[in-house]
Amino acid sequence: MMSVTNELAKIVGKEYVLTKYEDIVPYVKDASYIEGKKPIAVVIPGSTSEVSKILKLCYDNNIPVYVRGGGTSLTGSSVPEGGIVMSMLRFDKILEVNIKDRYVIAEAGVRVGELNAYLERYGYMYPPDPASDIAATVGGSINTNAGGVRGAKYGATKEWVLGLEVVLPDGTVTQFGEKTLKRSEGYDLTALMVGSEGTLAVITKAILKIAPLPKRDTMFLVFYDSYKKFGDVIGTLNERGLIPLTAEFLDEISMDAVKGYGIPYPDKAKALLIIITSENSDETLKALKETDPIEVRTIKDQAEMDNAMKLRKGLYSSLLLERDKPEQKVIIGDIVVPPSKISETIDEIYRAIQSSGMKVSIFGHIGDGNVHLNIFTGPNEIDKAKELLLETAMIAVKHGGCVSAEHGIGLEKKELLQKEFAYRGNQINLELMKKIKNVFDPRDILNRGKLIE
Amino acid sequence: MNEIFKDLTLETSQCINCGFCEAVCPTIPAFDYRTSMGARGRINLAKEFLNGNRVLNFRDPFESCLDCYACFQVCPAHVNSGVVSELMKQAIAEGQVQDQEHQVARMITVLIKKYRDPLGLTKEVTEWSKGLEFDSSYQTILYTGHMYQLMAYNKKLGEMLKSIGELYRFITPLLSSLGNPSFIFSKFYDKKIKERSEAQLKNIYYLLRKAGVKFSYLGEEEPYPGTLMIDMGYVSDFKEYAQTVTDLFHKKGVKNIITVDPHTYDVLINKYKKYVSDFDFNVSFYLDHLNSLNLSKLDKRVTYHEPCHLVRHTDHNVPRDFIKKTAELTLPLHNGKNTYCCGGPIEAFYPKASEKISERRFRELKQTNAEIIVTSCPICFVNLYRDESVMDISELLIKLVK
Repeated sequence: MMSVTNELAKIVGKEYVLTKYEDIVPYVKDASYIEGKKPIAVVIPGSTSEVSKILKLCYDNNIPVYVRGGGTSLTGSSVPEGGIVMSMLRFDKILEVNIKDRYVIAEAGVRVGELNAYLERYGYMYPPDPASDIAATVGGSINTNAGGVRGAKYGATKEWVLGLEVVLPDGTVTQFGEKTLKRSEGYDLTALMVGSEGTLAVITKAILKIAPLPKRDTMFLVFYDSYKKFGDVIGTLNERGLIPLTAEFLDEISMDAVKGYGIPYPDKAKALLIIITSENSDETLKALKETDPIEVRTIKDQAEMDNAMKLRKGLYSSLLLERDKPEQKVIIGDIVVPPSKISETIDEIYRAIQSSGMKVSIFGHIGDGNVHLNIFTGPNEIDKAKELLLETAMIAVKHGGCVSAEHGIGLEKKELLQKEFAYRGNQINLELMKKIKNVFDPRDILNRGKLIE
Repeated sequence: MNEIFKDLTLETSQCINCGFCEAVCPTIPAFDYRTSMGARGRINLAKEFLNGNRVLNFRDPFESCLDCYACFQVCPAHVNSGVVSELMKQAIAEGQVQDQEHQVARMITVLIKKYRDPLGLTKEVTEWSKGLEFDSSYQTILYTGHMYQLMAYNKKLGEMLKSIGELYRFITPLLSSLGNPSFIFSKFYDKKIKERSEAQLKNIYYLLRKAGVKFSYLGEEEPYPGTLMIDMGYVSDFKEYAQTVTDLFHKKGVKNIITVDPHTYDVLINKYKKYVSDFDFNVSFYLDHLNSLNLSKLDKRVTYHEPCHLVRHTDHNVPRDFIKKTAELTLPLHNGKNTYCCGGPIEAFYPKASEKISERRFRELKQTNAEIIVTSCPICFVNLYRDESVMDISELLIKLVK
């Protein structure tokens, strides 16, 4: 009988096939609260040809493959359910930067933060910057259509992917898209990969559009005495044509969690907006002052801005400091509504939180209407937390929003996605998605059980 | 619940598994991207230990930790995976996991306790000071901690371990049970590194003298500070040993200790002050005393490799300020608190991975296009010394002092 691990070792070399308990146990979890099942092996390929051979082997033998980048998924998208885990971290090279044509080519395992540190020397950036950019990889962030703190101005990942080298489940290697800034060539297979959560093909290389690094002119820290006051800020700024580079909000619990960053808060502050502008700073300040804040603090120093952004990017993990008991987990939700609906959405969410009796912190990328609920959940409260996630997701849907803004569906939100489609009478969408999956992966070997059943 | 359990539980329970630490951990790429050999994997494995698992291979994941604290810098929940490794190494050293104590680590601990040097080289470590004059009072001492001197021997020890393979399991207990094995270790050293390290110590001596600092040196009585003991998890042995070092300093009438390397400086201000109640000396780094020196300008581009034990463990940035004053300084991509380890701390046990880390760091330093690469740590110097552009800060300053 064929030994999968022996066959894998023939492809990549035995040092890149892990089977010992201590070597595979760290791959069972990602950044979500969901724990998967131990894989038979973890394989770490170093080339597209190796990925192709691995997939062919698994396809022929009907072995599920769970592809893993930085392991930063918040919905359980990268946890295995047995099968094999394929880690893409050896795909760590930035292959080409072309400023004249505004693209960069990077391998799938390059960390997004590292890519941006590299591009900075050219005065350029790859705009999608999820809060986890220090760890999230190019491949992983494409697979979740990651957003981030620059989303208010630059949108999410799908706006920035020009082309992809992918390996199909049967081992076929192909390229979708090209280096050009636009194309009109029928079905956009590149776009189809974005947000597909590793269920259709394995991304090995990406051609990404880049943009000049914007000048961060001013940061405003806007403090409010109630969450009710900041909901309309983005709508107000949009009306005046003032689109900030970044617009983030934190509630009182979140503010407490990041006190260690040394930013003093005024008394009675219960909510904080962080706004960064690259232009029209005076007009923005004027508009912000009209929203009845306790204080608007203006920051011009770049190091202070860096500190505030570091605070924001680490906020989810920092929330652990606010747990009442060490066994509590923080389960994160991720909804999005049109900016004009933020105020009423948040209001209804707070009412739902109150009825649930659970401790919840809210923060988010308010610039694009993205709200993250963070539910402090004890070991026996998982179902209760899921109910609250469902209820709040449906509040978003009712206001024209979606159940997932930037974290994907993974294992956690499959039911929510179905509910969203059903609410709008779009059940056919799920059938179409299943058919697409079947076209690419008829044996269902890639990320089995995620996104759709 | 014992202390290790308590501290491990406290440290690991804040971890949300976000993976930020893994992304900056130098051992991940050095060990071919095996997650168990990086910061997040180590926390996962420590949780296995806390859950009662005692038979896994804990040694490689934890002993390969560089103790560089890069992970801690980026952890939003303030978890220090480096501290988790320290605690797990302690668990291994204390036999709380099955048969994983490293015989070489045990041998070194025994030798330090017996001879006050990891290789028993009490005479050899004083050779740099031949012909130099010191103050008669021990009120202020220049404390080398043997670190510069040991570099030449350490390099050979690594090569020896590599060549004898698994035989070390039999040889090392034998060595530590015999008399002082210095008669063996003293024969194996890298001549070039020995000469260079001794010259660097002499530079430090002359720079301090030039700055008007009066100091003495304990010579053959100077004890090794015990850094390796604590690095390898022998905390109880270290506490006991550190007390004997402290007693010696008191006996000699020492008040002020001038250290010359980041590891000794770190261990004295962080570990001695933690574990030894009467450790009441003023500890400084030698560069703290050189502000009065008149230095000429260097017309060359310089980059600086910041040692982890200075910028992260002790928040000491004086070397960088000196370079800024004297030359055009270009820092590498990883700088300040985000500096990148030289790979040195794991050179003896994991030479291949150590080599990969230092190669990567050297490449990054070269990318600055600087003509000179400066560091202020003997371990970093030896690991980054891949061409003649690399120098110790004492070598730079001695050239510039008027």
